[in-house]
Amino acid sequence: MGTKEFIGVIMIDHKDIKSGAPGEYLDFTHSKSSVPSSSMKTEELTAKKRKKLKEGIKRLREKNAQRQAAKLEKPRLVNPVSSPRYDDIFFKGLEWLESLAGTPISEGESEAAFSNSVWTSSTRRGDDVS
Amino acid sequence: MMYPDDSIQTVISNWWEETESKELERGSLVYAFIPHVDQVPFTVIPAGRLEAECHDKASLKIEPLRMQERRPKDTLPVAAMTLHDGELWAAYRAKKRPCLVLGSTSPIVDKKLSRGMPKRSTAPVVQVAPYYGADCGVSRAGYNPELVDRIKHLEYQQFFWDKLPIGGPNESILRLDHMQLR
Repeated sequence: MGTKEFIGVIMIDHKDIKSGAPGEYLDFTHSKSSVPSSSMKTEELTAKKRKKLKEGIKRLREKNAQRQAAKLEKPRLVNPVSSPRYDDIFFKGLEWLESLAGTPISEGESEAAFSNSVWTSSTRRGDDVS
Repeated sequence: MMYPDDSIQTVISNWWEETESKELERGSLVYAFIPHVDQVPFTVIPAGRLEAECHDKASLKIEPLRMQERRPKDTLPVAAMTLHDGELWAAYRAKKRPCLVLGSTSPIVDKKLSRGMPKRSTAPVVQVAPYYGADCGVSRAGYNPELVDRIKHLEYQQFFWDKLPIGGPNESILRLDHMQLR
């Protein structure tokens, strides 16, 4: 017996059970056919209707695929962090950020040669350095 | 300009807008020479002239600037590096960086009131925060994508991730902890 047939046999109308008392035999004479109606209908469909059904299923599948694709295209949402994490990633990252400032000034002695523009600059005049 | 989905900029249609006005206002993007604030400052001490009668050249000492240290008087004044009472020359590493104007100019002082005062006392200033380029690349050794992602997701209030409508790095980090007056 195939699965479908087996399911068909055990499909019982609840009315049959409700009409019997414990210990009694159940009367299934009023039960409808135990074969699932959907499978019967499929067999009864004409070639034209079967074609239409196939097309319908195909359309549904396409619609579903589109829905899935749209889901993937949705913006990636990120949960907000309630309190900032000050961990290794932060401190190493900060070190990297600081390093972007360039190399430090080195102390020592050096010689300076002044440009001629120094002599007339406002800085030398004193107060007015704006 | 395209922003990634996981950035705040993506919810706003025009994050950067070009304006007709050249006036500095909050939100303006400007270039400024920005000293890196988190560093020990140095002082440049004019130690004397290389030749007694030559003013074009001088000998300089570069030392860390310490509050407690007593500074000796110049041996021979260097005219090009004039200093007034209580002043010294401080040296900081600085770099030309794009900056975001955070505060507009200070109130304009009536010229009558500022007459006779040095201009620096009343000159308008703006509060700015510098951007640091944060791209991955050869010149960006130690690039830290995890931290950049966290900043992009607004985890730290002192940093802000952005893409600037100018040339240069593709990604930048605004350092609000380095805001200063210019």
